[in-house]
Amino acid sequence: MTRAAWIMLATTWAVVAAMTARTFLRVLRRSAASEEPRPGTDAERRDRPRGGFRGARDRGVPR
Amino acid sequence: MSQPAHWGSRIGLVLAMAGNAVGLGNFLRFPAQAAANGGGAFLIPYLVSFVLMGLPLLWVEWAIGRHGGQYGHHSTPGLLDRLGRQWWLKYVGVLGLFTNLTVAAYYCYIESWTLAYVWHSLTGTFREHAPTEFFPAYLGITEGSVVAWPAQAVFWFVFTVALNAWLLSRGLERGIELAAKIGMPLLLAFAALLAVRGLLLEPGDPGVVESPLTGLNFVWEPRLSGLASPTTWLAAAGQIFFTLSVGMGSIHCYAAYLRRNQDIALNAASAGWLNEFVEVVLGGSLLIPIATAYLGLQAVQAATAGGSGFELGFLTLPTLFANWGAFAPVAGALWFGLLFFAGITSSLAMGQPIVAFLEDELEVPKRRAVAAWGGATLALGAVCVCLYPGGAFDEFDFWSGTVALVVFALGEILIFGWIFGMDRGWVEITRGADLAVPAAFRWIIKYVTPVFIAAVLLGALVQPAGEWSDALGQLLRGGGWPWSPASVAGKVLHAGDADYRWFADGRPTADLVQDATRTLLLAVFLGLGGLVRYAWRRRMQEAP
Repeated sequence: MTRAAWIMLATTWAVVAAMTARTFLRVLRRSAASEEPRPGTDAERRDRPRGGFRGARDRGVPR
Repeated sequence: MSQPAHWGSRIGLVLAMAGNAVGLGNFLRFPAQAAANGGGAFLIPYLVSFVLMGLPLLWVEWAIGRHGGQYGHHSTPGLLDRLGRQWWLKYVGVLGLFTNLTVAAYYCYIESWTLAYVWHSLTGTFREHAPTEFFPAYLGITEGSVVAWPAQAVFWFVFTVALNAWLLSRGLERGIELAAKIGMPLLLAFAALLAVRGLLLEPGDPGVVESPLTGLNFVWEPRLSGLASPTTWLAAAGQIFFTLSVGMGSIHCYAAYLRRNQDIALNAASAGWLNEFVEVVLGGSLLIPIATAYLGLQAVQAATAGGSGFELGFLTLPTLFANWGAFAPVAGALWFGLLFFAGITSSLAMGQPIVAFLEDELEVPKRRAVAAWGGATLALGAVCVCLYPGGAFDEFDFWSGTVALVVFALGEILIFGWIFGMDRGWVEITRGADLAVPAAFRWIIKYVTPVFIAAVLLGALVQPAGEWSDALGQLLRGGGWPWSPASVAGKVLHAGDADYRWFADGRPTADLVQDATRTLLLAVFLGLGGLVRYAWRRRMQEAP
């Protein structure tokens, strides 16, 4: 292969592979984050105080 | 309206969208187009087209789909109807039904060839029969006849349509998504395996006459003079257009199953780049390098001069694999298997919009909707099968698989940018986005992409025979425009067909088949338009 062909191939492959990896890995990360099971049972999650404010007040932390 | 359905997982969605885009063209058309249009230099207009036309169209189609999906629509008549108050918007969407239905008819036929070739590779048919003899016999082509009755091809075609229908009937998550989750990784694995094996061939191996790197050089050696030619730019833009499956209505349909705030910016970009990876990295490393190793560069140059690797893929490669000894049947099965997976993930995407239209707009139950799609695909496909020698297949490919896509894409981008409006459009594209879409795309979508698509359409309409500069010179000298027989105008005018007639010696000619096929396609389009009109009238009457 000529030097020009190698340069063209390497440049294009690098750009395409990098963009594919960058976008697809980000999809994988976001997907894993959204599908990660939250701790506790369904009942525990339902009864857990929602929001930082109520939780903080319950623990006696001043507003 | 049908029950709201959604994608089971984000990975499934991206793989289904990428599977929709990855098709046979990634492996058969791209390398031949690159080699015929400037080699490595082709990649410059190709990537420019991807950024200025491909990505914007992907985002627009995903946005149109997700927007309309919130109103219970999953096919383009309803999706486009929701973009404005104009009564005619839904009729632009008819193009999205037309392309999916008619392209599926001949695409499923090609898909069935790949399945048949997997079978024949494994059973060793190509050890006894050369594919150059096998293929015409398989298609039922006989000298001087415009009609074919190929029993074996019909069997595989019916089997393929039935397989597609079965998967569609299983629904979004258990059918389409599952097929993509299985098919795409297998496709990548098969392609990578064959590429490594092919590129490691050396002169001295059985049957090898030249290094596969010579073939790779043929694809990648930049011939910069090609960059000045409109032909190269049009070829690159056209390749981007067809490889991404934009302008069909299938992306809209898949995106319509998204939730309101689900990301589209990152998902669309990811599916688009995944398709580019399969095309540029894997597609460019298979067909031409392997063929060059066994046939020599000159033969490959001659075979791909027209910009299609179809002949090499179906007629030549099965013979070449025979040199791989005990691995030959497996290699053949891997090659045609990957083409099959590339095909079925695309054909499912063509079936779903039709099924969704029948379900959403005409309240047809899913199983009956799938059966209707299967029946229509078989009926239209029968025309392609039985009139293949007369050119019916090529007519379907040209009018449905080429012209209609570009017309629809131009229509939808203008509607999105100018009727729906870029203010609302931009909100739609960026809502819930996991990727910061550069603000420049707001202007690119409104101004640059429509110009790009219009140039592709104009190029297809008036493409000259030979170089554009020569044709312009001839026009300026008063010699008229030399229409290419492959242009839209050339097809309509039957350019280059000096002996145009419907019958010769009392027997039908290819001209008759071509004109009859065009009439059929027009009738299908009008019929779908009538169905849309009926569906909307019915809804108006039922509205309280």
